[in-house]
Amino acid sequence: MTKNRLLNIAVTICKIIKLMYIAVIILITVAFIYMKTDNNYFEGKNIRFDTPSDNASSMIPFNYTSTNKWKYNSSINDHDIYNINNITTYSYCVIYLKFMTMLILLHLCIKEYQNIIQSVKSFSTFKQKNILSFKRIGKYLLIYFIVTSYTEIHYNEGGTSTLDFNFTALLLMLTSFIMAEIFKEGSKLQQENDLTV
Amino acid sequence: MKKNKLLSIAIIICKSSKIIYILSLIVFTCFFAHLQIDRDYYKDANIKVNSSDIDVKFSDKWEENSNENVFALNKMTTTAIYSIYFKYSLVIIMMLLITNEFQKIIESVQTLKTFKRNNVISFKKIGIYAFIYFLLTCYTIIDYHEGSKGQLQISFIPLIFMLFAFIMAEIFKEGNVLMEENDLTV
Repeated sequence: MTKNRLLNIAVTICKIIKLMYIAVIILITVAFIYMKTDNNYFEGKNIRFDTPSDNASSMIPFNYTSTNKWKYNSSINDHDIYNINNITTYSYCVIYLKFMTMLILLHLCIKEYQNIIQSVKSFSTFKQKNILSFKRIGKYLLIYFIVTSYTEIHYNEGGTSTLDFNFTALLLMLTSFIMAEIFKEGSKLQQENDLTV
Repeated sequence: MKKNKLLSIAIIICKSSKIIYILSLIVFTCFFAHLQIDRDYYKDANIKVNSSDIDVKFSDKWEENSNENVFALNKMTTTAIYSIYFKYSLVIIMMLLITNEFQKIIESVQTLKTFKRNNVISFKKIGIYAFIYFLLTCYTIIDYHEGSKGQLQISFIPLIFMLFAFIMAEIFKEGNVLMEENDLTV
């Protein structure tokens, strides 16, 4: 396979994923507004808030999760407490903002990555802006890790808190910082080369 | 954070995950050997093949058996046990090889030999290993004496990983060309 075809495939994948993220962001926003206006629509439904880290962990099996549940009145059964209808408004907003931040961060990562691939395609691989892009990806992943690591949901009569360390994000962060260093070295080489020619 | 500290952390992570892979390979082999010797020990064990299972029971004759009995570990056919063993060992070996190559690359970056030819080859190897990993994990079928389980699972992460490795190989190739030009002019 030639280089350009590879890069084209990668750019296409990036674009598709970006579109998907935007679609998900719109969907979640619509669902959020709908839930606020028509609270009873979710009567009797029990929705679990899982972080999307199940598939990624199969390749790199370092994930740590622990959940803690509490309730104010022990006579009510779990199903009535941990129900999407009973989530407090404050929690709703926090969850919404959390998911939005996660999606936006992922979107930004993909965008930076697409920029890098496009610059490789236009033969400006070892430019300063690619180093910055890799550093930015690293920072976004760190924020992603922090945002996903702790979830707390308050219900009217109880609450849950989840601690979920997604080490895949941390490993990716490390990789992107290393890539930034490698590109820095390449950029130095390029500059030397440009000076001698 | 300084470059060397970063690289040292990465090497430590690589080494520890290599140890974990080797350990799990050993544990898995011991388990396999024990299963051959004492099959009745696993009478009640029912290994779960991840989500999206397709369960097939052969004949109605066995309907009186509950699900757990049909799909118990000791009712697995010998071929199925061997094929599962080889499959998962290969998966672990692939991951071990990928980590190994990655460690080599990081070590060469640490010794300031970043854009050498062998790093390009390493990245290509990682790409190939990731593809083999993808092929190995995408389909599972387990035969039991009284039924069988099949699972089709296409995970795109190894594929994306493969693409990433091949792109890295191309980038390193470009760096290699630059470095050679530089060495010639100096």
